[in-house]
Amino acid sequence: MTELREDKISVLLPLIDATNHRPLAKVEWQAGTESIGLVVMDNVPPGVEIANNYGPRNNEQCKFRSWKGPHTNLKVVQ
Amino acid sequence: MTEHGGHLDERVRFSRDEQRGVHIQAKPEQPSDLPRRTCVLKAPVALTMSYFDAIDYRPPTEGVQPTSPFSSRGVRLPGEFVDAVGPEETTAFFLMGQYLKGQDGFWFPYIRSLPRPDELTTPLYYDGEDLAWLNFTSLAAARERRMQLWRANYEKGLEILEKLRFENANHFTWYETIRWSPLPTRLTCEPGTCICGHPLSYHPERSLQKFLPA
Repeated sequence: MTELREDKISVLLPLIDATNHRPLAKVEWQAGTESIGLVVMDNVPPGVEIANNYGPRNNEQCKFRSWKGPHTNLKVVQ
Repeated sequence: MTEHGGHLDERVRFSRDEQRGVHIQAKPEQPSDLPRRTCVLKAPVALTMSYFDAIDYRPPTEGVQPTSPFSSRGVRLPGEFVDAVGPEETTAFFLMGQYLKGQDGFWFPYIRSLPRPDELTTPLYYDGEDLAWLNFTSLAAARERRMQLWRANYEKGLEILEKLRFENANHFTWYETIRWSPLPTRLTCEPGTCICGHPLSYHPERSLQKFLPA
């Protein structure tokens, strides 16, 4: 089998995918061989949502995927 | 999740509202802020689902025979199929195969939490008036291209499975399932480095890899 480019492989992440996406969320993913952790990089006040940051996506990716969270700066032109 | 080593910080909880749907928040009753650098969630690699599972990937390690966290869990797609359609379509068919296992599937609790085909509201599921409206927008062409691409990939994959006499290949003919399956794989997916810790060509110096959002 030919060697794969890492960015060609998509992964479903149970639990972590329960978080909504927020473009400016300050989080860090800690990926090990046993587990993947989501670490907040800012203090989170009580009652505040903890969001993930899926990184930049182009318009087509945002529109054709069910991203959890607000979509900003997307224009549908008529 | 907890049985397999998953973890949700005790100061964090699931919540739900109309605007945000299901989401995660710091518990309102906490006396102070959740401090930065808190690991709020931890998911075992063994519970992730990806191409690595579809191919029963075994990370190369030295010494003792490794136990891999990846497993096809009863959906063994033929190697000839995998090589022909590539990782992305393999993953979509793999997810669908797991979906078809129903309650017998290892990932059943997770799959049933994913949006059902009738719950998806992306433009690919538009019809009637919604589709008529979309056809006047700049997204119409992109939608059409995407639909044609998925349909072509689906037909190619199914043809190969049938040619290889893959058991229950006919179960993969449900167009709505095939159309649904690629979406969750693009729903919340992240590049494979974040679960493998290293690419398929192993680099020992990267046994723990931090994935930083772009």
